[in-house]
Amino acid sequence: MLNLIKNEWMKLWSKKGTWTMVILLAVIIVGVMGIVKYSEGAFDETAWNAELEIQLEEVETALAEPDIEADEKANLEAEQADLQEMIAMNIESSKPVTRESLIADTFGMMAIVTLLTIIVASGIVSTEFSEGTIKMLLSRPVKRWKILTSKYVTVLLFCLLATAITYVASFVSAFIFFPGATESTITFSNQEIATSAYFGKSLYLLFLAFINAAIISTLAFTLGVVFRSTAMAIGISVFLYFTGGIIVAFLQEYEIAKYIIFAHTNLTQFETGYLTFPDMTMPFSVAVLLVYWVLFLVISYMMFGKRDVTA
Amino acid sequence: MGEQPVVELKNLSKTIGAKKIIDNLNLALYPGQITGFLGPNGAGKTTTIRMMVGLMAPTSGDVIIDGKSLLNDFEGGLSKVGVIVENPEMYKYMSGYKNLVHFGRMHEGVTKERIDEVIRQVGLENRIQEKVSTYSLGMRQRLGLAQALLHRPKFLILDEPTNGLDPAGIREFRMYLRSIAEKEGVSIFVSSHMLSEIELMCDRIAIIQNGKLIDVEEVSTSKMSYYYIEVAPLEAVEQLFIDEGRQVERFKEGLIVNAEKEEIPMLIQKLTAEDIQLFAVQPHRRTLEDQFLEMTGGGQIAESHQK
Repeated sequence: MLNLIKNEWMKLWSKKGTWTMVILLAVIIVGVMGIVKYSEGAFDETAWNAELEIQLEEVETALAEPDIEADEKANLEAEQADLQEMIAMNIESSKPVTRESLIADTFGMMAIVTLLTIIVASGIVSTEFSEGTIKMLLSRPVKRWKILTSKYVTVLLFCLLATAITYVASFVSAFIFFPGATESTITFSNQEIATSAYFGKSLYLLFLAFINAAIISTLAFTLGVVFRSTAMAIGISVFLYFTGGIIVAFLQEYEIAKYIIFAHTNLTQFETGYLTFPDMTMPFSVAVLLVYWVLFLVISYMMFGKRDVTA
Repeated sequence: MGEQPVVELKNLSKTIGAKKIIDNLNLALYPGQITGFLGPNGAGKTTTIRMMVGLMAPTSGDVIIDGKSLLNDFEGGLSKVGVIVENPEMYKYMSGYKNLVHFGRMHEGVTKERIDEVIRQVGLENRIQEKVSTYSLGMRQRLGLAQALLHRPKFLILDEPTNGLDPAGIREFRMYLRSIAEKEGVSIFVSSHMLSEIELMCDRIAIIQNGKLIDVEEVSTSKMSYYYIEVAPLEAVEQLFIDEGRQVERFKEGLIVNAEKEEIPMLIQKLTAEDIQLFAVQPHRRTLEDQFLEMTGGGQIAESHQK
């Protein structure tokens, strides 16, 4: 089995595209950090507030118009109140960006990792079919389930590596670009956390985001096995990855929405507090994900093991 | 043949949909022998070969390789098989060497030394570190042969092996197959459309049509000998031969008739005695192609099925 995984790993890294993706990943992360640094310098607090105050003035002039209709007036008054509140809040909450808060937010970058892993997972089986190499691969004294397992493990290893690259790149650029927190605590989704606990927290969030990436990639892997078309597998998985939340929101009224995989893929919601359904719990989400995960793998193994190779 | 067969196909059948693509195929292949596998397009050659290497599952029947059934001991059965299925599709984005390492890892006991040895055997030393995408078709064929030989198989299956090789390459390839069959006792099963190739390469020929094995015969021992006789008048002679119970085929200026060599002087005497003008008598070698077309009833493609 180790030899098979070595083979898949060798094939993966013999492709130029894999290197391009990983380098791109590091560049994007460092780039985003750079942009955060740059924009932090450009939009200082006073400029931001000044802009809000200009908006407030505009609303107030509109309110001062004599022939204003009742409902429009209500709207404008609401806006006025919002703006006033925002100005007050902004002065209150605009603390400087620190390296700790950036590292804790690293999990937000996992969308890129998920996309890259989807690409790898979609292609790892289907390109063997489209290139015709599947004939060479399967006419060996190795059972098919072993070959499929080696491919799946390789996808997970790639996901793990991309996650590690993301963390290291964020970590390094956070240290280069930003100062450490001066206060001993930092707020994160309205929770106060000691700065020393931040790194553990960031790794835990990253792990939850990794689970998300791995589940979506398993779906992409299964689609690649079923359709034997890389484009189709990438297309469907990416589409579902981005619209899954909308689908769930659309069906929110119905009981079934709770059993849709996309209500649960984002496990970081239990940490950030923005729950899809207010009564959701972590064990329930994990159970639902586990059921889907097993389902995807069962379909993959059945399709791959039984099918006659005619390509 | 007293020897134990290396490969046995036992009542092998494959049904796709309602269609029987392979119908109860039985065949035994022996060590040191090169067996040709012939059949018109769509007769089931590729399907049979794919069932022998585990790419397709038979509907019923079994393949026994070196005493191990593919149904019960897939890994054991295939461990002694080397395969080139159609064009050897290698990983184009990797070097030839990495491709061999890749396939070597899938078999037991393929060492680095063995890989180097095989590379030398197929004559790819100079280009082996280059990407396969830069290889010519002939070089890919050589690499395909190399991967099939890595684990010293007892049984080699080749589907259209000489496709894309130049004449010198084909000749070399043929000699090479002969030598491993003779020296190492490897049993070789070659499917090809190139009948003349099969004739030159093989000891035995298995012919398949519409999923049924219609004949297996030795190449060297031709059953009957034929002569081309140019005579006038043709009709009278044709009638004469038919009366003698011979097979006669009439051409524009002569006839092809089956006769043993010993009968020829007697035939000539007989013809001259009857005042028939005799222009030429020459041995006619029936090619495999003639036999093949005769047996399979011409070149029409077998009833279609979904590939």
